[in-house]
Amino acid sequence: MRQDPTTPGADDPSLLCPSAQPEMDGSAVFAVIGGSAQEPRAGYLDQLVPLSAEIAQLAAPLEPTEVFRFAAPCARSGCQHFTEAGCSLAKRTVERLPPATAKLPPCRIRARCRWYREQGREACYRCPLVVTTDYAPSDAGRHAAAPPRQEDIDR
Amino acid sequence: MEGARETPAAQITVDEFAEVTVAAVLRGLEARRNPDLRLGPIVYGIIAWPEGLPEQVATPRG
Repeated sequence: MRQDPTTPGADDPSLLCPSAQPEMDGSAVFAVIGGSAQEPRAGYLDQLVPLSAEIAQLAAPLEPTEVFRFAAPCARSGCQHFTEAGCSLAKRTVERLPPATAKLPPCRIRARCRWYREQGREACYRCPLVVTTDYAPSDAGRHAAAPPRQEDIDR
Repeated sequence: MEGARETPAAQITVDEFAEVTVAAVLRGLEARRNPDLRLGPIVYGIIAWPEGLPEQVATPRG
């Protein structure tokens, strides 16, 4: 895979996706979505919590991804957001979402986070806005979340 | 947004986890139920390729 020269280590296979699904191997909760329906804000756990049936039950009747943020190994080319330049979702997050904070969140996965590795602190400033399964997305969020179309990638 | 920028993201201890999760479920229910807000759901995160279409994006052309 060709690596974007501006993102050293972006081909590191141990990098984590910070908006993963709970059924993925190695998935763990690293944040809980607080705030309000209008203005969600992730709060960051001081230690990772592996998903269990008991943890999933805490989110009922919602999907765990409406309540928690999961980190899991980046699926790379198995994910529709992944391009030759890396994670296009991380790139659009920085381009389209406003910062939620001017301080780095107290995040336990930063050292292995693909979004941070590729986009740096600007991704972290916006990360608290992200709800993995979002019933009330902002317009900016809806646009940022859409995977790139194949023709856009080939262009 | 300036006010929001001044607000640091919260840190949650294991002891606070259950209580914070209850509040998060209430937030999620409100997001589902409020017709003025309900524009989703969208998936903001990893999206696997459908079966039979792996690695399309990462495959270089030519």
